[in-house]
Amino acid sequence: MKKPAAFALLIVLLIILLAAASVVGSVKIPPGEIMSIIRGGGDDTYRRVLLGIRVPRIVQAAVVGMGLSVSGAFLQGLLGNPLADPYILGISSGAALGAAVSIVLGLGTLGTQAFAFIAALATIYLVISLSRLGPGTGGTTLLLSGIAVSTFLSAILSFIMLISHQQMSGIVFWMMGDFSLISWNEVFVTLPAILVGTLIMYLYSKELNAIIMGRETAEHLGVNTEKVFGIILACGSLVTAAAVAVSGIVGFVGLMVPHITRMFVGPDNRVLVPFSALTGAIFLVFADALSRTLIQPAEIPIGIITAVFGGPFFLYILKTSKTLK
Amino acid sequence: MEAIRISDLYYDYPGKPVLKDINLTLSAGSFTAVLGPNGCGKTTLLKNISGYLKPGRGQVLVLDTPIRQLAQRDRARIVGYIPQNTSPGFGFTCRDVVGMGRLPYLGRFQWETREDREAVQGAMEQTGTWHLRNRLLGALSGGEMQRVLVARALAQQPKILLMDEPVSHLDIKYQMEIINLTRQLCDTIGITAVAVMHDINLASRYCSQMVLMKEGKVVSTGSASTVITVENLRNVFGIKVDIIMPHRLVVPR
Repeated sequence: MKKPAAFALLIVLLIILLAAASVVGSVKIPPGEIMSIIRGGGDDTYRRVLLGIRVPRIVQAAVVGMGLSVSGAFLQGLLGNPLADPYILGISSGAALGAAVSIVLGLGTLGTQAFAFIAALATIYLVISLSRLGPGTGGTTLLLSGIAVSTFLSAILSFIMLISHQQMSGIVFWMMGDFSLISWNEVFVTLPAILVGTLIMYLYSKELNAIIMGRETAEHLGVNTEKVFGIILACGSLVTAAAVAVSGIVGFVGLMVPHITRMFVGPDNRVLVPFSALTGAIFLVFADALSRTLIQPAEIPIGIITAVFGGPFFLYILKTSKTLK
Repeated sequence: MEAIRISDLYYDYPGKPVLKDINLTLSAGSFTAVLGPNGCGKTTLLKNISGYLKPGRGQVLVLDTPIRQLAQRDRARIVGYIPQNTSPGFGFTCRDVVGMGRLPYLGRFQWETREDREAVQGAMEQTGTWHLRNRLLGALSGGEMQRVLVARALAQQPKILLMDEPVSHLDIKYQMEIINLTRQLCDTIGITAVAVMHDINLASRYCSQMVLMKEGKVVSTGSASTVITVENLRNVFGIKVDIIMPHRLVVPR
C-alpha cells in the first residue's frame, strides 16, 4: 500500500475508534441518545457522562499516546538505542516525582506542569551523564542507568505519597497511569504542550536521520548535533512531563509504537514520526477502552494494559536487536 | 591553484598533543594519501581540515577561506567527509542515505526539491550506485557500501573529499574500484581528495601526493619518489624494506 493511502486509512481508523470508544464504558449510553446529544439534546446525565467525562478522557488518551510515541521514536534514534523510551530512561518517573511534589506543596496545575517538566529534564540529564561513567559505550549502560534512576525516583515518589497521607490509590495512579480523573481542564493544559513539543521534534526529523548514521557523519553534513540533542531532549521531556503530570506514568507506549510502525514504514523519521503519532493515539485509545470495560464497573489502570503488551515486546526487541550487542 | 593550505597547525586532545607544527599545501584536483602508523594523528588531521575540530594553534585554509570561520552548514557544502566507521544504516535505503547529503542545502521547513533529487541521482550515477537505490545500506557488500558513502559525499557537491581509511577492510578488487573512482573524480570534476590509507603500494600507484606522518608530525610530503624511500619507512614504521623499481613496490626485507 502507498504511504499516503496508509496514512489516510490510519486517520479513518482513529476516527472510528474515537467514536467507538465513546460508546463503550461502565455507563451504557444507547446509540440513539448519543445521536441526540450530538444534535444538542438528549438526557442530561448521559450528556454529562459523554461530553464531560468520556470524550475528554478519550482525547487525552489519544494525545498522550501520540506524544509518548513520538518521544520514543526520537529518543531511540537520538541515543541509537532501540530500547529507549521515556519510561525506561526514567523521564516519566522524574516527571511523576516532580508533579507529585508540587501537588503535595499545593502549587496548582501550571506549577505541577512546570515541576514535572524540570524534573523530567533533570532526570534525562542525570541518566545520560551516569551512562557515560560506566564501562563501554554500548546501549546497555544507558538502559541500566535509566532503570536504576527510575527505580530510585519511584521509591521516593511512593515515600512522599505515604507520608503525605495519600491513599494507596494515589501511588497506583502515579505508577500505572490513570485517565479516570481527566476533565477538559486537564486536556486544555496538556494538549498545547504535547502538540508544540511533538511538532518541534518533527521539524528535526531530517537531522535525526543523519544522527542515526553516526554523530560525526551528521556533524559533517552540517548538523549541529549538540543543539539538536538539546532541543529534542527538551521537547521529549516537555511532552512526557505534560502527559505524566495529569495521567500518571503510562509505560511502554513510547517503546512499542515506534518499533511496530518502523516495521511497516521504514526508519526515515520524516515518515516514521507522523505514522507513530497516529499509531500511538490509536493504541492508547484502544488500551484505555480496554481498561474501562474489561472488569467494569471497576477499572484496570491503563499502565497494566500497556505493560501486559509491553513487557513481552521489550524481551522481543532485546532478542532481535542487533545494535544492543 | 591550491585547494587546502595548512599552516603551523597544532592540535591537542586534553592533556595529549596530537598534531604538531603541520604545514601542507594541497593543490586543487590532487589526490593525497595520508600514511603513517596507527595513532599518529591521521584522522585528527582530517577532522581539522574539515573544520570539525578547532585547532589549538595555526589554521586551515580551504579555497583561501579559514575553514573554522565558515558556518557549519557552509562547511558541509564545501567538504564531504567519509568517516572510518559508519553505522549499517538501520534500515535506510541507499537512496535515503545519499539523500542525507543534501541536508546542508535544505531549510528547516523544506523537503527535497527537484534540484536535490537531481543532485542525488547524479551522485549515484557517478558512483555507479543508482541501481542500488532501493536496497538497504546494511545489506550491501563492503565495496558497494563505500561507493554509496562516496555518493552521499558527492551529493553535498563538495570541492574537497576527505576519506578516513576508505579501503582498509575491502578486498583488492573493491580497493582498486574505490581508489579508481576517487582518482576519476579528481581528474574529471576537479575534486581535491585526501584519504587516510595503510596500503603504501596502492597509495603510491594512484595518489598524486603523499603525506607521511609520525607522532603528530609530517615527516615527508610530495610525490611518491620523494616520500616512499627506504630511510623514511624505516624511520616512520621501524621496518626494513626493499623498494623494487620501476613500480616503486615496497617489499618487506
